[in-house]
Amino acid sequence: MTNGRKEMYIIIGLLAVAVVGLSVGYAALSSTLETTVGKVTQSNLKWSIAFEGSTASAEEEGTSSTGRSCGVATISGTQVTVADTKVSKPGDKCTYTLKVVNSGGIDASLTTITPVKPTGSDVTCDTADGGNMVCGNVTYKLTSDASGDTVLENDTTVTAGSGQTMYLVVSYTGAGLNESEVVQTGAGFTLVYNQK
Amino acid sequence: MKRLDYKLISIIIIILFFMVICVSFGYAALSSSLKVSFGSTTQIKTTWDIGFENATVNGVASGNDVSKISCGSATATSATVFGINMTLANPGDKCSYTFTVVNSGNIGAKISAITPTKPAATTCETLSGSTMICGNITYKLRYDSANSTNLLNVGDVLDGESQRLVVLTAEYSGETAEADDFYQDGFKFTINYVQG
Repeated sequence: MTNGRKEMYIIIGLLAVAVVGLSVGYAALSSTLETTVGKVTQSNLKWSIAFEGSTASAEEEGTSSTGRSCGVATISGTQVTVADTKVSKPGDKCTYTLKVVNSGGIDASLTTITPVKPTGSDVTCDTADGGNMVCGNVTYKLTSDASGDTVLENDTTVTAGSGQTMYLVVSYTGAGLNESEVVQTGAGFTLVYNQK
Repeated sequence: MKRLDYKLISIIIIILFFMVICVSFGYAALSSSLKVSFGSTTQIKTTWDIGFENATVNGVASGNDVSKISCGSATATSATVFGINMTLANPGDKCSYTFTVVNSGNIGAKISAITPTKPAATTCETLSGSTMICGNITYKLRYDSANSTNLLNVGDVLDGESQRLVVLTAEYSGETAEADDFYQDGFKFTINYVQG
């Protein structure tokens, strides 16, 4: 019995330490400024950041349609998935217009854009930085302009109730042609929005 | 007393658990991760190969008296047609040479430029695209037949894996015959194809 009680006391003690530890861990990098106010009102705020819409079709560019087809993008909340796409010769390009909407009551900031490299045999990405990724003859980009030239930057703000338009671009940027079919699977980007 | 102690301790443990979870959840809530991805990006095998079909082509004479016209023959290799020697004596005399331009690749091709080069030491009133008028002789590049009015133009497209007949004509377009032999040497047309 006594041992049981002892164990309980230990558990309580550990939990108390955990709570204090978490609080201290978060509090270590902050400063506390004290002000005195007459009344503090806490509004009922919501945090909500997601892609708008359900599908997006691409703007296609290029010369002949040989070797080019732009899959439809399916949008569901925080995820956009583009169906199978082909770009095979210089000039082939698919551009998708996407919009991130802050339908909450708290401003948000795009803090990081992380490229996700594709898989496939002999796929290497010479560039994978933020919203720009070059893998062999194919370039993937997240841009702030429809022409696909200006890579989307971090630290852009999406205020409460507003949206941020961006463009997902995949294009054939190699100088030569492939002597055989090449498939890259799962290329993409992860965007993290934090409270501003 | 013991039962009460255990109950009290259990309640405390539950409350502490709840506090730990709330602290963690409270810091993680105001951040959202959005993802965009491509199912697959395929680059098919593409080839670029456009040129003349290899052949030796006999010139075809037309006019009032074909017995007085000499058209000779021309040799076509992939990028060049050469060896043309002809004699045109009277107004209306014409020699025509029919070649085949072949696009063996799977990428469409488009004429980006047609550059006439006049015969040496000769004045040409017209030197434009598929037409060259130099004194009594008019040179033209046409599609399909010697009398076709369908001339080759910048912007003309030849689809991948297709071909088309191109006819070079040289016609005595002057109104009077020359009193003496007159030579025009070294005329040519240069056709540039680009991805189209």
